[in-house]
Amino acid sequence: MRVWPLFGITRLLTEPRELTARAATLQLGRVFRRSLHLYPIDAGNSNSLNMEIAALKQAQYNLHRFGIFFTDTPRHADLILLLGEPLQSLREPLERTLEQVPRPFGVLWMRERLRDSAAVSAAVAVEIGALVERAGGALVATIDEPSGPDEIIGALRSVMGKGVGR
Amino acid sequence: MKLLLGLPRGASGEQALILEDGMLRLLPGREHDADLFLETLLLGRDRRVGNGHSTGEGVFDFRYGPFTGGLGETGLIHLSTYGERILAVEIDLSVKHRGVETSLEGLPIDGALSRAELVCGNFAFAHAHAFARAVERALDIHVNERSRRLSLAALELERIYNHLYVITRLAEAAAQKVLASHLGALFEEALRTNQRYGGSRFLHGVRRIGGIAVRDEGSLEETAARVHSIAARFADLYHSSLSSRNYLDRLHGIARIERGHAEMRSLTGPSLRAAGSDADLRTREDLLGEFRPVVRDEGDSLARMEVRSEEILQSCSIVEAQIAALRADDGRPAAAGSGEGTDRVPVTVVGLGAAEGASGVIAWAVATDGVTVQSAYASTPSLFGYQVFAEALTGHIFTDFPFALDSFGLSFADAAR
Repeated sequence: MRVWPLFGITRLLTEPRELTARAATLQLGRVFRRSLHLYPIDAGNSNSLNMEIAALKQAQYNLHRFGIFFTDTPRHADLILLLGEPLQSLREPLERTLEQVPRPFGVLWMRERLRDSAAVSAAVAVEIGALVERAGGALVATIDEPSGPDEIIGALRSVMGKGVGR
Repeated sequence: MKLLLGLPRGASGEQALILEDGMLRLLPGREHDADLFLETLLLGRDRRVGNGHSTGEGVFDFRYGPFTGGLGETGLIHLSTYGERILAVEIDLSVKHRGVETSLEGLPIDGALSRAELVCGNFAFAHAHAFARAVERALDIHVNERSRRLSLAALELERIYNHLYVITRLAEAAAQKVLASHLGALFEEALRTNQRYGGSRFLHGVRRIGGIAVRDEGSLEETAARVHSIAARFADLYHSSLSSRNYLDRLHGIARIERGHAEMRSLTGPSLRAAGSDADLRTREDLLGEFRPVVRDEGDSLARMEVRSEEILQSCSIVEAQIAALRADDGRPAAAGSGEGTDRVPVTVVGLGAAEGASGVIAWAVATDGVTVQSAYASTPSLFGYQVFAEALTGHIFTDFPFALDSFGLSFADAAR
């Protein structure tokens, strides 16, 4: 039988990554340059974005080296990861949750394949922008169908005001 | 075994979607042997499942969700408790109901297939496969052996990453940090394998009507090599984890289910197989040869983890075997979509299709005229899974909650559609 801690150090899992950033990203301000705390909110996606966030936390990406951490409560968050197009049934809980986030804070919105027509989705985007603003936050970027964790980390680094790079 | 999977509404009124000996059938009216409880569950499937709520001195409603890290996705669970033991569990599915089936009506078949995947992103291939099978049966479209083998491999790739995700969450809940880190890394490896195989980390858009689209021949060889490596690394982790008493103690005896009761609730998949049943649609796949499902008798979270773990190894072998069989073939390109049989048919026809997904049987009943979808009905394993989970959790304490929930591998998106 191997002891777990020894199991852990026999293989280096963290990888150097080529980070990308596709969407225009707003920098949140110098206060978040060294650390950024994230709280994901599933607003009604099909679960693949939740899985993508789970993948983002894995050892290959080692988010902590970038100063990026996940929190268990919105009250400790700097940036909300909004996952999916918010369902009508979740708009009110979403607004109430955003009101709990200390200011200044940002919202990084990730969308999967659109459920509705482009016109309906555009109208929803305006509503979500207004909802975030009402709660005192800033919508820093909208990423449609993220290609994987590298793109998400690239966007997060941009929010922190750092280069994409490796 | 005869299971009631749904009550779709057809042109002539309500029908019963039945799964019997691996075959789907639609029966007119409510001609089924299921009890009234299951019928009520299916009629109210967009609202709430569970065993209601409890009252009494000091009993309160502990509302867990909709946004909480403990669930892994948005969902709402009401736990009736006096602070220690859970007395009743009610799950509100309405918060994540998206009306996916209704949104398919009137769409061209290919567009509907693509949207059917959105029922549940992590069971996307199984949904697409079952939906495509329903259309192919309705329109009598032939799928060649190569595409069937590639679909079988894709179903197993989906099973591998979902099972890895479930076991990672169980290890995290049990504070097995090193195990969880390694399993999580394998989960990411599995997603990268999917990307290489079908061009999508979650196998989205891979299944087509009449065929399947994989990237290229090289991707198959790389997939086989990657899956081989995942199997070797996972086997090492799994066997080491079985010597960790802290880990096993947290899972042993949690949310135990009885086979007879689970079947009465139409439970399928690894959770049912962990309770002693060998029901698995893959036993009917002639291309899998002598397939033997992984079965355990205990019916608790530990048994469910063991079944999923051994299924990962089994799935890796299936993927490798299917790719080896294709290699032995003459190397014909995979049929990506097909025009055969998709001409407009004079009347609406209904087709049924099912797939053994990562957490149970996914079934679709699709009515089409050959061009557009007239109506569609999805039966999802998570609906029945949540009902059984609610009943199994009752009587436990909140500390047991993650071990009970995660071991079932359910998804709110899948149940709420």
